[in-house]
Amino acid sequence: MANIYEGAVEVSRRTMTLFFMVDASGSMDGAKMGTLNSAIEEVIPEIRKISAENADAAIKIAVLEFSSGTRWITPAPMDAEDFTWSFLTADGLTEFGAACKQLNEKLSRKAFMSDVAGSFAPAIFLLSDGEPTDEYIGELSKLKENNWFKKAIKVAVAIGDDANRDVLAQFTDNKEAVLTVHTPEALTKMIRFVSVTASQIGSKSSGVGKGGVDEAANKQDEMIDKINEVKAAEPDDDGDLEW
Amino acid sequence: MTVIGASHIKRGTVCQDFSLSCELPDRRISVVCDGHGGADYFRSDRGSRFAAEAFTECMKDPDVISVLSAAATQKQQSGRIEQLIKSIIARWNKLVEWDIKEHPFSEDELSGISGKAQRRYETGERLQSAYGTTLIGVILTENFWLGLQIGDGKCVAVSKDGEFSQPIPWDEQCFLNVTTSICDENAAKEFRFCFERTLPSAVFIGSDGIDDCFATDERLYDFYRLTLRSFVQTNDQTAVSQLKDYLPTLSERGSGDDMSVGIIVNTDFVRQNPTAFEKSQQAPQNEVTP
Repeated sequence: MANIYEGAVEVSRRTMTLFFMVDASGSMDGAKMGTLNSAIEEVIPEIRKISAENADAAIKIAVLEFSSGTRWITPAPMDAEDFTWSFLTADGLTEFGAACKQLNEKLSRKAFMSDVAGSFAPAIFLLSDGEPTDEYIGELSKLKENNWFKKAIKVAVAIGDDANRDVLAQFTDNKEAVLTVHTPEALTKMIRFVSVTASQIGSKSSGVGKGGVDEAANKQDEMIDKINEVKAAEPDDDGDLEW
Repeated sequence: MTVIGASHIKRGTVCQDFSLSCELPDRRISVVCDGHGGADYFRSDRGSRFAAEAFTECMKDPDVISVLSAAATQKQQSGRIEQLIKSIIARWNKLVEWDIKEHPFSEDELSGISGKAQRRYETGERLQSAYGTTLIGVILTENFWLGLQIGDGKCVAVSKDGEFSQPIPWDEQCFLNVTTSICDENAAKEFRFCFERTLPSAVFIGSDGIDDCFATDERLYDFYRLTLRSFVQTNDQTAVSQLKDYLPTLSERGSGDDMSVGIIVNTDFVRQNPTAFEKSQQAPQNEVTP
């Protein structure tokens, strides 16, 4: 007798969404944006591979650019398998507060986190070279109350010395989760490292009791451990500006 | 029934779920437990077994039915159910304490855990955390049914009209991979329950490995509708074996997690009213995902 369930059950795989939150303001024009575009484009096949080979969760990708206003490059998170990077151009201001507002709206079961009951916490990767030009504090505070954001892996890369590291640290909630790069080579390396590592950690299953042993142990801590390993092995580049 | 998850097979880890069910002349009992499985909860496979055993033993107590049946007011019901919950937790703690006494934590077990957990375990603080687990249990009698839950997973009841619902309230503390646990210090307060005198046609209890396979509650209900259809179209033994045979496939295609399902079904009623549970018989419902 044929099994009644075969072909009759609509199953969903768990998903982990990797968010790229990219500063596309005018100061990113030139080598910074060119390097960023190439580096992310090159790392996508690797993320696809992690997604395909990972038994715990499939990886989806969402991209938000912010400058004078914000724009979702992906109207909804896309399967890594189907995703291709659209080259971004740089122009305008750095409306970081508007970007926080956009992210907060989408980190909801009613928006980007709606498709699978068993979604994993997202990984959010912020890249910026400057200082917010809007009133960002209120929107960042609201974002930090979002449960998805609280549980997310959050890493920021400060591109060059003009990036406001304090703002990026407020976003990631931890100074150790902010990496600074001064050269195209370092930016390429860090984009690859953060994208791959966050995808690996974020899409891995882990059972955690609320009040059990070590409530603080989470994926963000695991990510920071990896960042510290990289920092120890390869201290920050020497600060010679090569943009 | 419980099957090991596809990702556990791939990683070579043990099954951390455990389930039990039993049928006595005056009651039917079913329980599923899902051990946390993180590195710090290295004995959660035993913890889930102990929780299932503790629940079952407490529910087998001859006095349970009379005590709960006699509760005349909601306050009395709640008070008696809270006592029952405390006795389940106490029994679980006793089993855990016995296990630790018989099998103290080994160096090997402690080597792979977080520094914070290691320090706590080495000082003897809250050792039961290593056994952390969720629990969903149901007892159904002639006069009432009771569902108890701590942690994630879902209890789905099907009324005699074919309406699907989740009568045990959801706990917002259970979010993503974080769940309340029988090992929590305030576990008694974290238990949720439902107590109803109208008997359902079926009750399903599933660990989160099951519900994480479905995008919405409605898809989960569709899955359980198939189970009811299986009971209608075949005999009990075949219906159970079809489900058990399918669970590894479901885990592989879905959550990858261990899978436990407990079912209490009024097979006579379901077979006499086969169309009541088909989707076309239902009014559209709002889908709710916690």
